[in-house]
Amino acid sequence: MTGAAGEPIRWGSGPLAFELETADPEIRDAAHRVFNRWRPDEDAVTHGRWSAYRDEGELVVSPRRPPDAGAQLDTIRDPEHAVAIIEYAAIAQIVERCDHILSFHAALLSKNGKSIALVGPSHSGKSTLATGLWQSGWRFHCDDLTMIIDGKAVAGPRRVALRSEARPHVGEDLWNRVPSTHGYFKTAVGCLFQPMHLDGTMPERVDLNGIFFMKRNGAPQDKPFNRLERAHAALALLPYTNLVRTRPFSEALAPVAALMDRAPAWDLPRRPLPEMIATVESLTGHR
Amino acid sequence: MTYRRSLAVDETPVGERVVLYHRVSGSAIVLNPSASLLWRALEHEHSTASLTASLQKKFPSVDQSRIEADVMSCLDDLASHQLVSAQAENRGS
Repeated sequence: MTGAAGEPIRWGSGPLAFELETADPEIRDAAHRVFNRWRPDEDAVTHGRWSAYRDEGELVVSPRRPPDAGAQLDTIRDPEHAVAIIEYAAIAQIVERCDHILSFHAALLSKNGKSIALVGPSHSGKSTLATGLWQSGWRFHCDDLTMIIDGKAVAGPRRVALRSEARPHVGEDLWNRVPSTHGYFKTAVGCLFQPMHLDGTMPERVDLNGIFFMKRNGAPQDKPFNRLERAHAALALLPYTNLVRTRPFSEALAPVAALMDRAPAWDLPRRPLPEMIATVESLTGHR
Repeated sequence: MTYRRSLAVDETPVGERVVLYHRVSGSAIVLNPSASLLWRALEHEHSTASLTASLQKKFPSVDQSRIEADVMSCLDDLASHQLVSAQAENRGS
């Protein structure tokens, strides 16, 4: 992230950059704390610009995404809330507008140079497994959007959302350190925070060594894991990608299939968390 | 009976398999390698006999009746997903 006083605050990941224009010192401070490690490439193209300011005492972010049908735009509570809105809008921009890059809804983690993506629908246990792996020494890159850039996986520029019920899986030590991180933001159901602020790392591009599908339709449930044949894995990942929104089927599937050439994929049925962690570690050569 | 591909199908080769997508129903299926061979042959209209003969050339050690049964089963499967259309063979007059 860059942005000296008076200049737009610029952040992003790889070739994708975003900008925030604001003269408000509190918003600038909040944005710096959230985006400071997200540095786009030197020649990154700006894919979204927002401004944030105060109007008669109220915080305004422009442009704002229209709310769901029937809903109203919520009032922005404080500078941290304004930055969270912009942070999410940037991710939505990647998903909806950046189809020159393959991205998909997945958590990205790594350990000892090996990286994995966890893919699944809501309530599939993805977040629980991700936090359990994090507690077991895995680096937690993101829980939301994984992008493929030059054949490498990289996290979308967004904080991790930690729900309160994840506390037993995270462990007391880690849990208690989260609120002290720079980008910590308390939400109604938990918090947003950046694991990089705890381990001192920076975003990096990693080789993807495995993709784990949680709650895939048709996945066998009678064994702890199931290796997926490449075509089935590509078809399973496709609905989670950005490309499926904008490209014809064949065009969307081709880059996903190419990713499956490089990364093996498995179904990972729901089991007790320690068992699932052991399975992931075994399949990725950590045990 | 002769068979031909539905015009509403997109295909993507993935390794030695073919993934088919029906644009109207939105359903997608992955063909196994043998069915993928059959699908490639269906680029042109074929009878079951000519499809069986075509596969027999690829797998000469497999019994012809077994191949014929597999071809019929595969065609039924493709037809049930509306991926191929079948029509009575025109034997001329």
